[in-house]
Amino acid sequence: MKHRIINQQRKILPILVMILLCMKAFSQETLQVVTKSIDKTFDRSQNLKIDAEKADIELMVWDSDKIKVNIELVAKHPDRKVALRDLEMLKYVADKFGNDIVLRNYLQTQHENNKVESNLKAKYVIKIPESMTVSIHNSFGKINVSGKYKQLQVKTDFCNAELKNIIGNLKLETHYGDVLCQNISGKINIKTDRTNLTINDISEECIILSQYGKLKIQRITNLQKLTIDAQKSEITLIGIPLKNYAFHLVNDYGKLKIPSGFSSSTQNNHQVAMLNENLASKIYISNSFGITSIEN
Amino acid sequence: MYKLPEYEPSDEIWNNIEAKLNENGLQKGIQNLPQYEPSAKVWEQIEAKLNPKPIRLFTWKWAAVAAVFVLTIGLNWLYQSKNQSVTYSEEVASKQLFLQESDNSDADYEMIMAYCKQQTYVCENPEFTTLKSELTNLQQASLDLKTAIGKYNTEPALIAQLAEIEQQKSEILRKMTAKI
Repeated sequence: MKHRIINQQRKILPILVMILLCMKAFSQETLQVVTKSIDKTFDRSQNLKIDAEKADIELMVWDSDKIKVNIELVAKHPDRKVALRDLEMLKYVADKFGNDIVLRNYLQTQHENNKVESNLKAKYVIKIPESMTVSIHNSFGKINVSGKYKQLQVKTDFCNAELKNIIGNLKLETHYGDVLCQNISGKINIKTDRTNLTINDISEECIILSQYGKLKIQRITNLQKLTIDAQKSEITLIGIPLKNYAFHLVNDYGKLKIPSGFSSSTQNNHQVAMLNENLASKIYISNSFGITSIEN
Repeated sequence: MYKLPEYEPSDEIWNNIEAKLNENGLQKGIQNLPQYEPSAKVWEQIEAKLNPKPIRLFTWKWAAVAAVFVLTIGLNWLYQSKNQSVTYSEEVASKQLFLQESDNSDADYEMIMAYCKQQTYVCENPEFTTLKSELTNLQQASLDLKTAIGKYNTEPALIAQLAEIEQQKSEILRKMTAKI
């Protein structure tokens, strides 16, 4: 009896393996990838302007006076001919106009009927000298930025962005997506809409305007002033040394989750909580129809 | 005049002409003819009419411009092709990253909009209006994202974002239907 069962199992096992392999094969598709790669080098310039779509952008500062740019334009489709045809519609600009280095990718169809069938993507790897003024606009892609800037301006739509180890003033505008700001030395100005925003290790001054966002702020040891003006947002401050800051928290039609020690009052769905009013370093948070939490 | 055909007379005709010109009566008559010298202006006008300036379609100036243009295009092409390369490869993509039928929640959105065309009382409620406005924003975001994702997506991050937006849409739709 036992032998019969083992024999049956031996017969069934290869069939199961075959079925699994078939299932895996059906759940995958081989895409033909056509990549156009462009390398350019410029002399130092005052400004760098990047206007990208569906792009992965990596920007860093290096010890050189040159600006080095590598752009990859990629088309993916099961048919290589279609990928190649669609890649021709993905155009780029990498030129110097006066004091500006302009990098851009865009779609240009020759006829209205020409529809792009491939998955198109652009990739930028940019190395620049420090202390330049940089502006980046990207949609449906990724942004990784690090280094020292005179001014850094980043605007994202549906992007995942990581701004790490930045020295210089930062102006950030986000629409959807996930954004991480980590170790920023400089004034920060953020306008965020429906974005999951995480901020770690910031100093100086930070102003945030948020709508429908999820804000998580932690480790702000040298911060002088934090102002958050939010609507319908979920705001969480984690591990903030309470004794170092004057807190003023306001919430309308929402929830305030605060540790003990705060003086608080509630009137007609209007909540106010305060702590250490006389300290110089201040945290002011206003929110409505959302949750504001201060966690240890 | 320049287009007229040319004919060369025979030697005999030339000899006859010469003989007639050398006849005494004719020579005397010629010598007695009054002589007039036309002014320089008249000569200039005659010369201008006899040798009209051909219309120049191609001057050295234009040739230089064309040469510079061709050279610029050529150098640009050469420079671009030097800094540019095209490579081919293959990628096995998971179909889970492609748009699925279930990602299409447009019907729910259309249903709410159609309902509001008929039942204006509920839809004019301020709370309902706010939800409707949020839903419209999310619907637009969902459409934009789907356009960017396309047919052969390979980016998990875009599908994750779409999932989040669709969840938010569902939450709002739940709240709206509760008020209907």
